[in-house]
Amino acid sequence: MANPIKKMDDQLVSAIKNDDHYAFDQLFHKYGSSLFSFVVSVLKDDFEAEEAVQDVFLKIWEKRRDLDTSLSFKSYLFTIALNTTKNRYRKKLQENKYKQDLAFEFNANRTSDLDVFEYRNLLDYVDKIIEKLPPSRREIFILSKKDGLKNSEIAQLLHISEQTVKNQLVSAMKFLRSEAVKDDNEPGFFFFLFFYRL
Amino acid sequence: MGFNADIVRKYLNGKFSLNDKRIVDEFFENDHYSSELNDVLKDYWEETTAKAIENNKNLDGILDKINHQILLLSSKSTNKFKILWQLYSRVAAVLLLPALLFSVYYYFSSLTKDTATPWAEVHSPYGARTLFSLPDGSIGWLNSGSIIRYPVRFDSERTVTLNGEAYFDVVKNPDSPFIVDANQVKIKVLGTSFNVVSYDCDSISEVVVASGKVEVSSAGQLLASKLLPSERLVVNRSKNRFFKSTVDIQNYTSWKAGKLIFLNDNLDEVVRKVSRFYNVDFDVKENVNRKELFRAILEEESLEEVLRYMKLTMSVDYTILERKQEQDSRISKRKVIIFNSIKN
Repeated sequence: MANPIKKMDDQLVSAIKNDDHYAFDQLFHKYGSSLFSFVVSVLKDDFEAEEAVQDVFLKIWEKRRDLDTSLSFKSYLFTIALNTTKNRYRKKLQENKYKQDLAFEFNANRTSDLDVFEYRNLLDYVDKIIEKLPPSRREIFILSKKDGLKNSEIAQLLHISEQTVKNQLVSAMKFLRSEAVKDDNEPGFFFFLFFYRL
Repeated sequence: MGFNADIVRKYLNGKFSLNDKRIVDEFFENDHYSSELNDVLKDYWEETTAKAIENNKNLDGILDKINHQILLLSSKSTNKFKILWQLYSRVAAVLLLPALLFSVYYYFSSLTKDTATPWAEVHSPYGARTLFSLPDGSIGWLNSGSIIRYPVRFDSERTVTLNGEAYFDVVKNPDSPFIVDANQVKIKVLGTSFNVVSYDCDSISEVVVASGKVEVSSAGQLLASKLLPSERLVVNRSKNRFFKSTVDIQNYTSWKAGKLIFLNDNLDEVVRKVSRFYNVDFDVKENVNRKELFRAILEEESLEEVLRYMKLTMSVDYTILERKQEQDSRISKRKVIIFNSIKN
């Protein structure tokens, strides 16, 4: 006998191939929360995870005519979920990598384990000290670290000399490091991480 | 750097050092690790889907958003067609539907061996009035935005369902009662002509008899009433109340001839009729006196003319907002704003 769960999915999949919105809702109710748990474990961000779940199910609806009923819906769902999630992960990383690198460079608990909340706090903390930079220096810093522009490109863009860019970046890093150390001393970066949001 | 599944698992389970995160980033970024990473994620997926989900996150909001998106996608793809259809259907509905229905009926009646009787459906597009004929020879008019369904072959009872407004002229057959099922209101007749208004979006239904005898009952038989010619029954479906009065039937059946007749109708009534007749939305402002009565017989007038008459005889003024494209790319109906013309 065929697995009854598989059978159920088959029926729902055949139904959505015929534009049955109700069957689609049922598939969502059945797999939505598992999908969400999976996605949020990878992305570590509720909002991103919600959007990913939306993308995945929208894709399923768009591609409903091409669904293959002989394959399991669950593995089909995984394939779409995997691609969507990995793309989002990479996109998010592009935004956050420089902050992560800075935190790493400032020796913020490099080896001790963080949970998701602490990790996010850490990035927010880095954001906060970057905010403290004077505006023009901050702009140069962001162009360089976040957007990945070369010094010569920044110089051209802002009509300043390359040497100025270099100097500004060195001062910016110096400032950020001293801020991080300052917080690390009283009562420590660790603690700051834990409490500054409360 | 070699692939390390343990670090990925540690990350997925939610406790990881900054160093771990940077390693996992590398696995995601570099396609070199793709197949090994996919394997770990696949295992994790199996675990997640196998165990009962503890998180009580309510995903209904997400489903709503998805369904909204789906709606937008489908309306985008049919939009151009819709506009064309609206123009075309005004002409086509009147000219083609009777012929089409006759052929549908003919086609289905040739298949009489089938056990289940197929049902036919007539839609009258907004702004159009549609003549229909039923398998027993009864005819009728379907008003703008209304739908009637009927079996292509009647059995012992002649049952049709209606959402909207229709005028029926029923062929007499004492052996087979004719029943209109209109949103929880049932109208039973043997052979008469009468007008029914019952939109599922309004809680008020209305039956007016032109000739013969009509029996009206509501769901659950909570009320039943017999009507004679020129009698009108108004049913409030949500409150299960009804109200009977004697009326001038012309006022209620003239729409099928393309006439708009108002014989001392209050503003709400006027607005309801005009909005269906011309397929426009109304926005009646708070400070307007809704008790004021309007009397007019209009034939082949434009919407602007009708509104001008209203402005002349009642203490209201109006402005028309033209069709515009909504955010979801639908083209909205024209909208009429009615406001008090007496400046305070």
